[in-house]
Amino acid sequence: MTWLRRLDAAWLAPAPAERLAALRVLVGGFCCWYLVFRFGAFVRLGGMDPSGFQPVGVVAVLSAPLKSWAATAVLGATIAAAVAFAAGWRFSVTGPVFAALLLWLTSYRSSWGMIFHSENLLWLHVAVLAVTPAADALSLDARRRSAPAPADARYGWPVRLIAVLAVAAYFLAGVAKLRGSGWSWGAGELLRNHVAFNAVRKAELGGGASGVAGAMLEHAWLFAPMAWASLALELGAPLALAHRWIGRAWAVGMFAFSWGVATIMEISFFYPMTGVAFAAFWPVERLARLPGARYLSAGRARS
Amino acid sequence: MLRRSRTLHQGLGGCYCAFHMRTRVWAYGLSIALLAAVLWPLTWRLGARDSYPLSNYPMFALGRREPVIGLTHVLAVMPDGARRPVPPSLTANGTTMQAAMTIGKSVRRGEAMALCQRVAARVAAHGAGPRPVELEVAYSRYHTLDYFRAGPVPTERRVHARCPVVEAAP
Repeated sequence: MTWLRRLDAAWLAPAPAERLAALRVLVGGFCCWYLVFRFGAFVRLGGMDPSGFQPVGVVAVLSAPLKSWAATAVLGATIAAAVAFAAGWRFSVTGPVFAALLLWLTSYRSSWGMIFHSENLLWLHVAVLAVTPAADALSLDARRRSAPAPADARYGWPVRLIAVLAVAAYFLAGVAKLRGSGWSWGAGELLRNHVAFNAVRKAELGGGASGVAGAMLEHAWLFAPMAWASLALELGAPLALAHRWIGRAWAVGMFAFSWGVATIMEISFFYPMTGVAFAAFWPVERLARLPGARYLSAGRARS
Repeated sequence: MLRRSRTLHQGLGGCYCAFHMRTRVWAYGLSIALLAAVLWPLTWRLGARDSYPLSNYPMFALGRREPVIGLTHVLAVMPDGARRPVPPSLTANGTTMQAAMTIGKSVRRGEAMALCQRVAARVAAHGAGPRPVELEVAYSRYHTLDYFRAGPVPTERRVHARCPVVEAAP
């Protein structure tokens, strides 16, 4: 049973409740902002041409789009659940409810001819947080506890799973590049063609052209190092799990990568761009030391 | 008992009591299930199948060997003859990709004129900026690198529909 003990030592090592809770606050806070920021985009789905409806994921149960009022009602309910999730209020109910509503809402948004891959990882992280004790600290629920929750394995493995899911998502993207184009992807020409294709498509569909892309395309030599860097970060992602500092270095690399994509291609993957997608690689329990955090600590509720 | 199991649990001294076993089963069960689900799209043929929230992330994976693009779009023809792409908010009420899907689908179904007139009504009602005289639903092909060197001159263009932009009666 030595291997099982080693696995336990790695996966079930105890962690402070505040670490998992801080992740819930960060991911939940991001969701609140994202849903409000994208409110118009979600509402406009109600006015889309029904012929463009191509349901994906859980939305595949629908044969036709929802009525506009129903889609807006789901959006409103999801925002309310996101606030409850972030605040850790009645979390055993609001956590899973929020995960289910977010899955429905984001699947519905991806059911109009374009899958928003940037939301995959966000939902997976929400799903893990929703079914684990992520509101045992830094939450309205925790205020009702008589004493702070002690460090426990229950708070450790979900954080590791969140980190593993981030690594897996980027690793898959790297594998896809190899499957689709082989190692020639690293030569840079394909990346350059992608950047040019994306810029022209955006411009000619009325979305505006990227000035940065236009300027960079003249310098073909720039694209090989960028292509190799993206392949290294994506295919090397599993190394991020080998050591804490490698993980943090990788997280910084992916953070910079997401900003590079936004600058050059004007494709904004907000979840990694805010750094929240990689928060599991950092001692985020330090957020509990912030002045306002004590109001969400055990024993704060009025009896 | 709870305190004892927690102590062992934290020390990972090999406690197989019921308390620890439940944690272990849930932790490994959920972790393995989620990770297997995330990796499952590796078995899908790239570019032939995609979904949400599980994906094999095909967006930048398939090689674009040639710097060319062919697309169907809606162009606003200005009084001086210049052509400007109509924004996706007016063509499809959505993003550029959703606009591409909407326009492409309309043309494939032989509904290019209906799309043209629908967008023309929105452009007329929009009112901001210089008013185009007409709209074109057109297929254009570009060399994507020349686009930025020499300007947005298509190497090929086929107009599927053309319609005037007229102000709706009050």
